[in-house]
Amino acid sequence: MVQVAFSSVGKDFGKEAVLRDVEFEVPSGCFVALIGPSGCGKSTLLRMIAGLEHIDYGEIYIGGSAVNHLAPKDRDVAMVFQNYALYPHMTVAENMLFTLRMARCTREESNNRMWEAARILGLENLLDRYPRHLSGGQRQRVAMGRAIVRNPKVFLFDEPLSNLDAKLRVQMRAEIKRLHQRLGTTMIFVTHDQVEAMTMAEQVVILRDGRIEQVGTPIELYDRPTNVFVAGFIGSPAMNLLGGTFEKVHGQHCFVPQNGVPIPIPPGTLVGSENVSPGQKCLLGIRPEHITLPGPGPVPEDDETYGEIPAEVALVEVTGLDTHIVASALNGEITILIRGRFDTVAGDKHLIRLNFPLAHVFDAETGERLD
Amino acid sequence: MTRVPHPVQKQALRRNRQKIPVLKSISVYGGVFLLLLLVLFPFYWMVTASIKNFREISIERTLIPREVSFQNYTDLFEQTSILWHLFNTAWISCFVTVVTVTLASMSAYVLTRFLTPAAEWIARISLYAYMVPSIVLIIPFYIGLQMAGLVNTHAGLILSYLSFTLPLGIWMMRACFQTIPKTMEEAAVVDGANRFEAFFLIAMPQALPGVISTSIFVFILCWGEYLYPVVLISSDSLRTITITLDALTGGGQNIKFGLLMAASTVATVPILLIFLALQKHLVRGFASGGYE
Repeated sequence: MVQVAFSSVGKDFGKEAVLRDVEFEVPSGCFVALIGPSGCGKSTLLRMIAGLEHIDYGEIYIGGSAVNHLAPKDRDVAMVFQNYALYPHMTVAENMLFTLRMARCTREESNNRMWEAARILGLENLLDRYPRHLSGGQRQRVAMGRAIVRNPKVFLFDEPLSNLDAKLRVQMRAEIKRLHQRLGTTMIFVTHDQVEAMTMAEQVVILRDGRIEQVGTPIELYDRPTNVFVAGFIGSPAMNLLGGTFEKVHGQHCFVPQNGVPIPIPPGTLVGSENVSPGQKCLLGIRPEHITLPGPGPVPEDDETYGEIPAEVALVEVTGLDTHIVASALNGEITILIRGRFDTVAGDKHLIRLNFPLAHVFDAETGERLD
Repeated sequence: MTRVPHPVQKQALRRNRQKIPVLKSISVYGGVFLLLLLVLFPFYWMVTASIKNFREISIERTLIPREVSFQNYTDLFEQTSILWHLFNTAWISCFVTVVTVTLASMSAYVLTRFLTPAAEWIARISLYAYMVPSIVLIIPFYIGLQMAGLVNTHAGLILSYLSFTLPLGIWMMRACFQTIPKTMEEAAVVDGANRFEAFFLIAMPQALPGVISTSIFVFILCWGEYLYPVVLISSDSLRTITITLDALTGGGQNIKFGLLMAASTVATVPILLIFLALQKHLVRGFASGGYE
């Protein structure tokens, strides 16, 4: 069952279109992440669901009913704000009870629901404290508690982890995910952090300049990005994009980089490249972990699905778990991600190997995927 | 190469470093003392003069009263209706303060939350309205209130007071609401509150320091207002404290200094007590509201 649906939704701020023809559906109980760069309209879209922003055109449906003209309180949604928006003059308990007070719930029912939410989030000992006496993580939990007590149809999260430090962010990420598993309620989560979106969401919606670029599961977005923007946005370090054409050289299908030496592509390994007309400018996308150096990795030396190119190491970054290598190759820079350690220094020359079956081909002009 | 100071130079440097805070403290405390002297001396003079006799006030002009006498206070309460006038002033000031703070809070809230593009202009216009001197408005006010039959009534006086307290109140409350994040009211609206509930239950409690400082300001303005009551009020029973003080000057011919100082002390005490009681909130209000 569809819980939230968008039908050609749009919004203008003055003459500027903030959102254009947004159209997607959120299944009931699904955890959806809205992701995109700053100013792409993701928070505006969330606020439109909550009823805090007017919908200029199109319709938003919650639980099958159009909510365009409903007041926020009648939409049965709960929202967790970026700065938590806790009421500073109320205690934790009063913050959580506020929404039930507005709903004219009985005192007994309100208290039961408040205690239940406090128990779920481990807030029992903080109920009589004021927000100013809480840490960032505790405030975050209170904000979630305030949302939980309502028992809404949809939870909306507006970048709730952005004010937390890295460690707490990871912790809260797991807590929100656990909460979703426990409650099973539809959740829409806005973030600009792709790691948050990839790790938490079941569906990810990528927005750019007010338009949806792709909707899919995190793995779909990672493995089959529909365009260059998605390919570059998802994945860290970002996907390498090499400009060039696909040509027949001495009867063999090759990728010809700009001003570079043709790289033969073994037949049937790079599916998208076979539909490209000769001379058509393309972008060959290859993720850093799909490039290997001699030695590490499970690739046997005689695997013919790999294309080889010479490269010179320019920079080595060791994260502890991985090694990131930036190498000069094909008149540009290529990032390589090696799982584990790799002993090399700037200036070393290697024959790097591109895993063609996992590479992507995009039209250089439109940026669209070509397969 | 780093130049290492000679031990003697080191000592001199240390001495200089010690001297600077001492000199700074002396100059700061000296300045504060002078300022306090300037501000507090008139109060001291007022209070001491009120308990001196005529000779000490007008002829000997002693700094410290040689003989303490409360005769001026006894005469004041017997010869004038100062307590009644004090009551008039108090209730009018309280009423105007409550009306001003209520209307100004609502107007300022609307200005900061809804009329964003026009808000700056409206706020400026309200400030300019406050800057217009009362003397310019007094004749039109008098004519208007006379036509409405409100001359020599407290209602007329209250209306005239509101003409200058409201613009000031709106300006001050606007500065206060600007510091309160809108997201809390948005959270309240999503939590099921309507706009009024979001305003009264969420925004107003946070605007409390601003409300207190605005109230004190408005109250002081009303308490000390002279021009409107002197022009609009003629009956003795409707007078406010400033007219009582004016009457005691005897038109400059026969100033009863003892009585005048006693009356001034009586007029100052309530406002001083209110100020002392709410001083902490006033400072907080200024700090949060950016009234500079």
